[in-house]
Amino acid sequence: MIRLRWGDGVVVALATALVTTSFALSYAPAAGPTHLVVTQAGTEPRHYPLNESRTIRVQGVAGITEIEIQSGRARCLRSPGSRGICEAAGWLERPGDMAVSLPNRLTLQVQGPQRRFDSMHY
Amino acid sequence: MTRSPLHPRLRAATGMLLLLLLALTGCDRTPETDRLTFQAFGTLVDITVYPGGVHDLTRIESKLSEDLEGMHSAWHAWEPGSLGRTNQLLATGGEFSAPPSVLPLIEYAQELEQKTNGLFNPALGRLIAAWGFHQDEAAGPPPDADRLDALLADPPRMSDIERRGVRLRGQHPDLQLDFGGMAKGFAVAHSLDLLTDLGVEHAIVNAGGDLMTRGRPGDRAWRIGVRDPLGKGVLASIELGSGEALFTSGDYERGYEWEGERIHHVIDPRSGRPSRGLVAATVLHGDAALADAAATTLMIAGPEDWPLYARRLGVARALVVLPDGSVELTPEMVPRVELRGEVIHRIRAAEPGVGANPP
Amino acid sequence: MTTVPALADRRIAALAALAIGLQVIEAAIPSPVPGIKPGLANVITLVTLVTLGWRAALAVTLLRVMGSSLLLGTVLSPGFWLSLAGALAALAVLAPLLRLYPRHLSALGLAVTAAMAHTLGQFLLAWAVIIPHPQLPLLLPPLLLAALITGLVTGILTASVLADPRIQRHVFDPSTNQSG
Repeated sequence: MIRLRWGDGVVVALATALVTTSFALSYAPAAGPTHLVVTQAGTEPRHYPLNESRTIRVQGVAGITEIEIQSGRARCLRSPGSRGICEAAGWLERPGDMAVSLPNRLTLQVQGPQRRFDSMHY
Repeated sequence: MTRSPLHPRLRAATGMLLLLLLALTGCDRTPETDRLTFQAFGTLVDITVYPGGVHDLTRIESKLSEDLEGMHSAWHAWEPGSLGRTNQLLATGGEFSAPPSVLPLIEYAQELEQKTNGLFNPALGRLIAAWGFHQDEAAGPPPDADRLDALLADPPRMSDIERRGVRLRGQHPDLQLDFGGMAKGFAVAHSLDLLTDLGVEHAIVNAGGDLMTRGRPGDRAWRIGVRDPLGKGVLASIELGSGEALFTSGDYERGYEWEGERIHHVIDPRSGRPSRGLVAATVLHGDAALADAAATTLMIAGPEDWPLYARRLGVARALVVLPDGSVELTPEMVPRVELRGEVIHRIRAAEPGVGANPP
Repeated sequence: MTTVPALADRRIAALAALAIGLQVIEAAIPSPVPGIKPGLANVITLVTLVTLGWRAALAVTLLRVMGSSLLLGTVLSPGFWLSLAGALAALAVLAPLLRLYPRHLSALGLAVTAAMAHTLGQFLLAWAVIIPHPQLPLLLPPLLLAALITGLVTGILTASVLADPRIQRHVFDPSTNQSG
């Protein structure tokens, strides 16, 4: 009944693309972190990719901090310090998640492809 | 009338739709910033500078950390330093010249103590110490009822320091200064001044989560993530312009468990005990020291009175987190904060002309 | 002396009346999803656009928005402004596209474009002015999807209306006639 024109195809294709893009942009899960950044007072920050499982041992002033990287996340496995603050941070799995070892003057932070925030307030 | 050629029109139409798509996609790439993390001032300091790749970060770190450590030891509440000496001299009751590093804090604290009717009272160092907070690892036991009664019978106030120019005289034997509720504000502001001297025009200085901005990263605002005090995620995001400080006082910052109860470091001068009813109070203000002190004050003021004290201190933008995870904020704060979707929030404005009960 | 309205005015009045009728009927039928309506009145707008040109379509649209909100008692309410914004956005996009009709674009293409523009126009107004809530963009994708579907439906309806021989002879051809 309707005599479709090629312009209809273009319009429907563009409209479909618009709908799909809007869904993708609005509902896509936030991308996970891609790498772990370890900073230690007095040294350059070190970057580790999160896609390969491994254990990192970092020598600090108070002892050794053991960091575990596994399936896109990282955690502080063992660290000097009586209160276990570093370990208590648990798995760091969202961009910006952070663990701190004050005795070893270490910070562990997982970061995504694009930093969402310039600074974290807490 | 002749038809103009088809293709330009078609292109225009397609272009329009593409533009719409682009507008929706919102290509907002973060301009490059450099970041610097180190330990100083007894906490984790995190500096963000813009633009990236042009500043001598090693020099910035050494200068800033040296400066911050200097302030830390000068204002330390229980280790020897300028403040420690000042406390000793105040206790003697004799007149003395105030160390220049401590004097501005005393002056500001006197003003703030008056405005808050004593809710913000840095003269109560002894009370803080009694709760076990004047040591690196806060620990119990908490003071018993008799000790608390004795401490609260005739508590010292900032006005018990007689000030004539730079000459000070203590007029209360129990007076002991503890600037835990505002020193970080001074330190952060000072660090920004130092950064300016070092040629950094656009930066954030973040000391243990409390921060202040200067300049801007290109033509956008600074984006700050606010960590949820009751969880691991992000509670909200806040956009900051130049010269804005964001300070939070929370019951999770320092403290210990005692007989199943969480003892935290924000002590209410009215009860002599850790404040109750709020998990955290956040203040956005152009004066970092005021933001710091106000966050402490609102935390102490509690769920009923916080908007009132915010008004008294001239703080328009504030936000508090209640134990159930819901958020209350001032009307002026609303346009600055983007709360995570499911967070329940209420807007609270202080009624003008309503006075708080004096403590 | 009585004045007889010009033929064009009578046509516009008749089309506007139809559009108002459709919109009021649509408002009376509860929608399964709030905020999503088939937009049958858009069929009239499109028919007007194609037969009488964009000036007439603008007139019919304004009459429709005013008339239906008078009848529904929503004048100057947020809903009124949203309706107006959507209708004007749709017309603004349709006017330049009309030149492609009917050779390169059928009523279906016009209707889909109109529906998308309508929804985006409403959304932008809502977001910028009425309720600048940060979570609002999450509503946009389902609304756009609904617009795509209702656009296809109104497009088919418009095409079948236009295919009627009684309408066919009025169909506006921009290459020969500008005023309708």
